[in-house]
Amino acid sequence: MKNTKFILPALLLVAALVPLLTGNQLRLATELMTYVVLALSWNLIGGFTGYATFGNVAFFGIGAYTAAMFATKGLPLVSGVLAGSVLAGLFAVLVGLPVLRLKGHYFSIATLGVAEAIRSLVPNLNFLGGPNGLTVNTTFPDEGWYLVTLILAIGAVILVTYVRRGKIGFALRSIRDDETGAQSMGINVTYYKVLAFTLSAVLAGVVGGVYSGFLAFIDAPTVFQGEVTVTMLVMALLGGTDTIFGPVIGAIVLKIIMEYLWTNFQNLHGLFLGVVIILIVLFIPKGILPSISALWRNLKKNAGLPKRGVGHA
Amino acid sequence: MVYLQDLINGILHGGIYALGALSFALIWGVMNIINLAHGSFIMLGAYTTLLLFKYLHVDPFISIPIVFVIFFILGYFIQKGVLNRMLKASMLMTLLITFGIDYVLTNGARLIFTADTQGITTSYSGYSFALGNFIRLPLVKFSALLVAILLAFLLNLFMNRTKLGHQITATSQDHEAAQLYGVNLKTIYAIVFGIGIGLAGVAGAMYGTMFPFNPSIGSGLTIKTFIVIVLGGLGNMYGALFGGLLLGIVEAIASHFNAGYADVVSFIIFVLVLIIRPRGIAGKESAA
Repeated sequence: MKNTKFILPALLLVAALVPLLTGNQLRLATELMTYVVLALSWNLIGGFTGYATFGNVAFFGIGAYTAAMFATKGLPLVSGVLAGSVLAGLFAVLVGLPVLRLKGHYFSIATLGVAEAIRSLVPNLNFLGGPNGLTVNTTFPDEGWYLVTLILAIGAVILVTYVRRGKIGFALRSIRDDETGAQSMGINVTYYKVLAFTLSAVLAGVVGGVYSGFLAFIDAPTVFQGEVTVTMLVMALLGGTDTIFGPVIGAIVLKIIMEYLWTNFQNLHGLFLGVVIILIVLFIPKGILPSISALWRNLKKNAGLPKRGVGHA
Repeated sequence: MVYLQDLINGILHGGIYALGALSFALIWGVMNIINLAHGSFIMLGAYTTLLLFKYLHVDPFISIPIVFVIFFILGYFIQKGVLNRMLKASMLMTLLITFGIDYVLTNGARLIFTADTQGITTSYSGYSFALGNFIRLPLVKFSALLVAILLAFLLNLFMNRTKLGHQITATSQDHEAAQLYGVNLKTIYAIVFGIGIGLAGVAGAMYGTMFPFNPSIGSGLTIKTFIVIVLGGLGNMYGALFGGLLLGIVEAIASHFNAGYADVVSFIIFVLVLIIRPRGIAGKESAA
């Protein structure tokens, strides 16, 4: 993993671009950074651990609603964001303990069920603003939101790198490859699965809280919509789930594609997104990053041994 | 008496869920594909029936075989062209590609039919039989339940009494052994997906006569279909019927108190059943 050295400075370089960005670009960049964090958070549980969750938007929404509640009560948004991430983490422990016992499709659909249940419950709860949602009054400038999400993105990369390279990452990979085997080797699989799920939830909760301030208005259809889960999932898969930076690259590429489709073919944008998903699965199922490194290795190998044909991967 | 009416409505709605779940379970059981686009095929079935009714004046119940054939062909070629390329892919990739198909169907339908809610209103739509003094049995919903039961029966007959049915069963039990005995795996898969999507289309035709619909109903229906399978257990036809009726009744009773809670209650029951008894309430102990 040599690319670590390049990507952190690259992210810092992105930060230096702030003064060059205009209003709309700045908001797009903020959304992009939000999705970088979400894609990284999905990859912790879905990629590293192999538990493909279809419900991570629940944590994002919990973070957003908690922060917005704090703001409407006149408390500083920072405290709300912190409380939201803690609440998202606690909820992950509570849900994770039973749900992480399920495998494969059952886990995916159970998480989807939990997220959908919350989405349909929240508009019925009056203390959360009911169907009208919540308004967050802030005077924070767009530049500020961008920098905050950028810092969160860098923080998420550092966290994921730490997890991936340490003992936790080793445990998670062994669970993904052979859970029974990992258990018989003495790895506390329940502990590590719940830990990965909780870390994922905390990351999603933090950006959810920040996003509520950034949007200034939230309601259940916005912050609990299933499309958020799907977007982060597709981003992680597109970039490559078995890598640290795959989700970052996937987020950037998919966000650019989505933005292009949105501005040029507003009506066709959803249709094209579906086609993009199908094409990714059919043609680059391992993700961009592993495909590029495989190509790179191939090129290097073939440069050394020029007489052998190209393409014997 | 009000509760009894809810119970009857629940049973009648349950028939549609059962039909959707039956076709979903067929695809899942034979190919281990969770078809996240299933609800959107049901949605398209409703629109196809609407078009046939509006422009060619075909009665929704007469259009059932037409819809089945159209959707069988659609499913057959989706399996041949796309899903058969993914036979060795991971579970997540298969989930994702059906999700991509769902996206294409939902957004395509939104482009063609607009996002407006529509319905199929026939001359007999409002008719209902009186049972006693308080209870009413709506004709359309009752007929839809009968269609669902009839199709479940026919599917059972097809699987147990025909050579093709036996080949499908053999493939679902052990696809390598089935291949050794001369079964063409990819063709069988295409036929199974065709039958599954054909039945989903018919479920849509029935749905369209019972409820208003729009292009976005697909994902909700997919989840409900999955819930029905979880409740009933995978691997037998009666499980789907049982799960469908159960979900219909639970929803009808929950929405009696507050319409907004109907979904929440069914999701909670679903997650609880998954956790406590992953094989389903009626599922066999060895089925997983």
